Amino acid sequence: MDIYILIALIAVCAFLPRYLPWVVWAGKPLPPKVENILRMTPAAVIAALVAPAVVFVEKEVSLSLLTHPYFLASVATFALMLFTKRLILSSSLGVAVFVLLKML
Amino acid sequence: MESVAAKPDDSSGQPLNSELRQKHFLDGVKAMSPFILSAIPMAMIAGALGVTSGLTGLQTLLLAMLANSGTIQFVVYMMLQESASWTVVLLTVLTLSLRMMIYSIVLRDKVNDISPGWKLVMGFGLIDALFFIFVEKFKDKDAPVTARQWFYLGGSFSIYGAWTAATVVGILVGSALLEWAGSGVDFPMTALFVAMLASCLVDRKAYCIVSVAGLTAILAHHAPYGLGTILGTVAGVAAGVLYSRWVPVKNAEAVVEEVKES
Repeated sequence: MDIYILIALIAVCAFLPRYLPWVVWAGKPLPPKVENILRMTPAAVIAALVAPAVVFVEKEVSLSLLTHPYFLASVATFALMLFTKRLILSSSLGVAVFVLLKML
Repeated sequence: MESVAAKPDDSSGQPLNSELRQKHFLDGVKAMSPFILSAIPMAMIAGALGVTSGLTGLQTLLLAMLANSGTIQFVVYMMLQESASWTVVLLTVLTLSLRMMIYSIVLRDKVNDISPGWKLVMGFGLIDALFFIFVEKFKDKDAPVTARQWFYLGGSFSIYGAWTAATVVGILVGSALLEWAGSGVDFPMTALFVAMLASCLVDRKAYCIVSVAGLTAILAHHAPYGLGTILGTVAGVAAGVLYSRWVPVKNAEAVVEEVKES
């Protein structure tokens, strides 16, 4: 039974941080400085999520990373996207590269 | 049709709107579809890991459906195996949710005029992928409430349904799935995020933000509770603020020069 209560509490802790910013001080517009910061946030979050995920494929960073399929296919996806600007094309080709490298 | 779409708010429930709603909903589903495909194998693993780490099938499913976060699922399994105390588990969940809070704050102005009931549903449905497709879709224009809320619902509802269904499959198949899957099931999702990262690089300032955020997150990788992501984000934004403080001065001077010359 206990575990169900814990799951319910986890649900509350997962929900409130997503929801509260929309209802607390909801009427007030944000100052331009804050808005400027918020506009830069998405790029910063993606970078902070992606960079470690790609670099720490193994527990430690070493030269073998340069031959790791996960890392190489990520670099390929990145380059493809810079070049083509097409999300689905780049990521599917990236996955294809990953699968091919894994088979080698 | 166009005059209807141009109105700032058309949530009055006229029959004509149902078509419009459906269109926005499907737009959301469509924008989310690559993420759904990538999430399915991960959700199956999450389901299988739940039952192999000591939860019952029902508990695993409830955790998936109520937390609506893959990261929280994986971390909770780990902590339950280490028999961490409730306080530690809940504090960890709150810390992991800091990222969601950042998303929520960023989206604030885009949901301000949406009704309280909708906000409840939308808050629950907020996840990484949804945040990014929503920001991308509505970044420069003022879209009507209907478009924003139904697009959001389509995106979050579709991946929520797929994640839940795939979790059930994972629970049913159990440990056999873990042996079969091996490493790299998360690569499709990583590839999507890598591609989105590349698409953020629109100017020098963006390169500056992304490099600082990425490097900081790498250096802070060993920080507990996924705080490295938060540190990286803060550092990236700080770099962006400094960049715009230094560079626009130059730009302004250039403009003044141009005006003088002409």
